[in-house]
Amino acid sequence: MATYAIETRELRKRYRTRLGGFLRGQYKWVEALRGVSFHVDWGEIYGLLGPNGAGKTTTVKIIATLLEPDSGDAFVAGYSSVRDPGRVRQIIGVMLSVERGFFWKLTARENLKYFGMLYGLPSSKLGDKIEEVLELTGLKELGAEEKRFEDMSLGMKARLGLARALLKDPQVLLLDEPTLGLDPPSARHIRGLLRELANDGRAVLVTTHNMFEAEILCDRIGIISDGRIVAEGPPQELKRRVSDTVSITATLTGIVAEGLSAKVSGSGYRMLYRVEGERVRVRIQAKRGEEVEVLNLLTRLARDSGTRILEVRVEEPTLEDVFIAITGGGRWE
Amino acid sequence: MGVAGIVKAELYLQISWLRSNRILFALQLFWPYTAILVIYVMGSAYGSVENLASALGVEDPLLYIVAASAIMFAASGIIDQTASVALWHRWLGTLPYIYTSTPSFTRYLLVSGLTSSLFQSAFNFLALAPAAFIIGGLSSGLRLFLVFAVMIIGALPLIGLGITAAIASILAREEGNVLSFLNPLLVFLGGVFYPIEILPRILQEASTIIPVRYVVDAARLAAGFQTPTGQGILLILYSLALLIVLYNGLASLGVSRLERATRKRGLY
Amino acid sequence: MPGMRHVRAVLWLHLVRTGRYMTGLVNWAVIDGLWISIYVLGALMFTDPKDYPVIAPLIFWAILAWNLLSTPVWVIGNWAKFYINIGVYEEHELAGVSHNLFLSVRVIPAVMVALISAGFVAYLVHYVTGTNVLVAENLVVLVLSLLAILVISISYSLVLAYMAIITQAPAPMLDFLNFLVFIVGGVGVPVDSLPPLLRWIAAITPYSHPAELIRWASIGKEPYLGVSWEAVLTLGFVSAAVLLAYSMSRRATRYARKYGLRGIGRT
Ligand SMILES: Nc1ncnc2c1ncn2[C@@H]1O[C@H](COP(=O)(O)OP(=O)(O)OP(=O)(O)O)[C@@H](O)[C@H]1O
Ligand SMILES: [Mg+2]
Repeated sequence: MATYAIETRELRKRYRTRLGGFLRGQYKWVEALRGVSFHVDWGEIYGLLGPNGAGKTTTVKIIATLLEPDSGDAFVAGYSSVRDPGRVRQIIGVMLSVERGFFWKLTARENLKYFGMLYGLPSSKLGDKIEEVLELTGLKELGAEEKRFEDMSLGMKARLGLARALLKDPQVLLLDEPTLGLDPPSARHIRGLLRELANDGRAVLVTTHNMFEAEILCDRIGIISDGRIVAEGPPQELKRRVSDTVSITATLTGIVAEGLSAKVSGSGYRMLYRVEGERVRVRIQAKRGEEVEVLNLLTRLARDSGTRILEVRVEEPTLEDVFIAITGGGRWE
Repeated sequence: MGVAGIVKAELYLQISWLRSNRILFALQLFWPYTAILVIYVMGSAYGSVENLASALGVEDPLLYIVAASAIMFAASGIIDQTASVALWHRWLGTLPYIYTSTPSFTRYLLVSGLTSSLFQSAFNFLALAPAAFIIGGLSSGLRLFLVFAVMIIGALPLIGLGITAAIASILAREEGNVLSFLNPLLVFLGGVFYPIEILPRILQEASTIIPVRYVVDAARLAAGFQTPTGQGILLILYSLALLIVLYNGLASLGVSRLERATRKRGLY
Repeated sequence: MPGMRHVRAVLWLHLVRTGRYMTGLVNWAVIDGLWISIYVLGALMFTDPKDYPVIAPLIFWAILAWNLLSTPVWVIGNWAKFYINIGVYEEHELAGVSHNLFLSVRVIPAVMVALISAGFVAYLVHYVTGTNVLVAENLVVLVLSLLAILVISISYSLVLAYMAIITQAPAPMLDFLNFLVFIVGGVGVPVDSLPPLLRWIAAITPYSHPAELIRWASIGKEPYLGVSWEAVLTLGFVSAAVLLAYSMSRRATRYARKYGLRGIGRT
């Protein structure tokens, strides 16, 4: 086909957020997207990878016709999401959240029946179609099809979300964090399913903040940070950009992450960190051959601040290092 | 946490709510007046105050309506404060912290319930005091105060009743339903704006174990023809005392059941 | 036709959900009935028992009117909060379903609650006064007027729902108005029994006109402005309310696409 399955051109979006109390009308503008352009081919799984608040959901909602961009446009199979939302809605299957968007007191099958009716599936086919997607997503196997939504586990809810997105037999799938909060087997199941769908020629756009998942699932990845795509390409190619680096990862307790981050960057290294309760996980990037210096720096900083190092490791570059190399590190949730 | 600590914490909570939510504050002040207005306008459109005086057997029907409305709001407030408090902590997820902060949950519930109930009732009666003064000057004000005094005693069984209901509903896993019934049922069976004698027989029987009924009786005495007799008041106090024992007994039995059940079944 | 398809699906959904939430709805109706009875019995104490045959039906129909105008505020207006917060607003947007359709069909549970609670009140008033309350001299006008009240209140609830989308303030904060309407708006009491100033307020309150017609159709009480004027005004207010709801729905959906949806109320 001549056109891309999905294409965005210079998407920009600002949100108005209210400050202060109910009656005080003060606003602040948040720049969610600052010019996002990428495309997804037919038969391709494209991953939009970025930390919290990077603009992933905003991008998906604009493509899905739910939000208007301030400027720029998005196209699905050549139709504009801004000017031709009706057409676009016929082509896409959308999953916006793992655990929302269903009626709590209805069973899985009833929820699917309702949305199937809304999508205009003829009642003669609807029953079969529902069985098919229940089968495909593994809900049958879990025996969840007669469970009420409120009684389902997170993994079942996620599968149901995917099942609804598949009801229309969409050629383009837009999935916002489809594996958020799922246990590894459920996440694996969903990834396998997405791969099958793409092999049939469908285009799949997934967002995720899970680097590992992006790496094993996606054909191409766009790293989005602060409303911009900062790097793009197949995972292997992205990693090649940082092939001359290694990373030292460590788990620490009893330390203020921000302070440590400042000191490490003060010494000329880039660092990414995650705060997990008491623990701080850090990832410091270094040129090959500089590992020992980084280890020395880390031990010195730890000793000075009375920190305990629970684990240290030297690792080959991953996608995380691409992110660090491009953005200079910082916090990643 | 000692008794004084709980009292202080509870008062602090109550006052900060009212301070942080002006709309709530205004609503609490004005709702009783709105209730009076509804009854009065509707009643006068379909009849007259004179009919009301003879139907209720009181001399000062306006003062009676004011007092009755104060009772209605105070009673509902008390149930909201006590019955809801356990549920509310559960919903907020603060129940475990309450458990761990005090040696006895029973003590917490009783003391905080008592504090917030008194606060609530005082607020409702104070809000309506101007109306009483306007209707009949100082003497009406004093009569309203008399009703308030009985209300304080009436608060004691209500607290027990509220806590019992809350516990029963937690144990039965029927939170919302039981409680939203309680308020209108208490007021309805208490015969706040009308004599209970007009209700079907079985409801009249049921009303004998409703504390609100006796506070309403006191209001009727206060708005009555003669200065309230000692005998009338004694009868009311006696009935209330029985109910205090009944409901608080049930409540303390229930609380220990609940404490055990929460630990065993993880009902947090 | 997508329109009919959507109507069928939405009807099916709301019927199923009404069934699933049945106990809750019945509870709600009885609780409502109890609260209303407290006021109604209080007001009845003002009445001379020999007036009961006229007053009791008047009060009953006023209460039914009140139920029809107030429950939708909760069942439709306030429910918009869940519609958005549980994430189904966007799913309907994607399916191209009119939010007006989806929310208005919730009138089914609303009317159910209104009728049960009015039935409870009817029984009590009947018991206390010993007279028949279901008096209707002109059943057609009575039913039409009740429907007019329902249409206005659905429209008003939709307006509240859409305002909630724009302001994020939950609808019942604005429910206070309804309460005032009952008294000064000529619903709870006949307009001519109000003080002169309030009569004017009643005249500009949409609900007072169908309410006057209800009183006329039940016990033959002459409406304040005469039957034909009240009928004309009722029609006028019904159309205005429907138009207002429609234009608000367009504004709110545009707003949501531009600024994004946010949670409503204490979420
Ligand atoms: N409706 C809204 N109103 C105001 N600000 C918003 C709104 N929706 C999103 N934002 C802001 O826009 C920015 C981008 O948000 P977005 O939801 O697109 O991020 P995300 O990449 O999906 O993040 P996450 O991984 O947390 O889901 C954030 O700063 C967010 O706070
Ligand atoms: Mg997101």
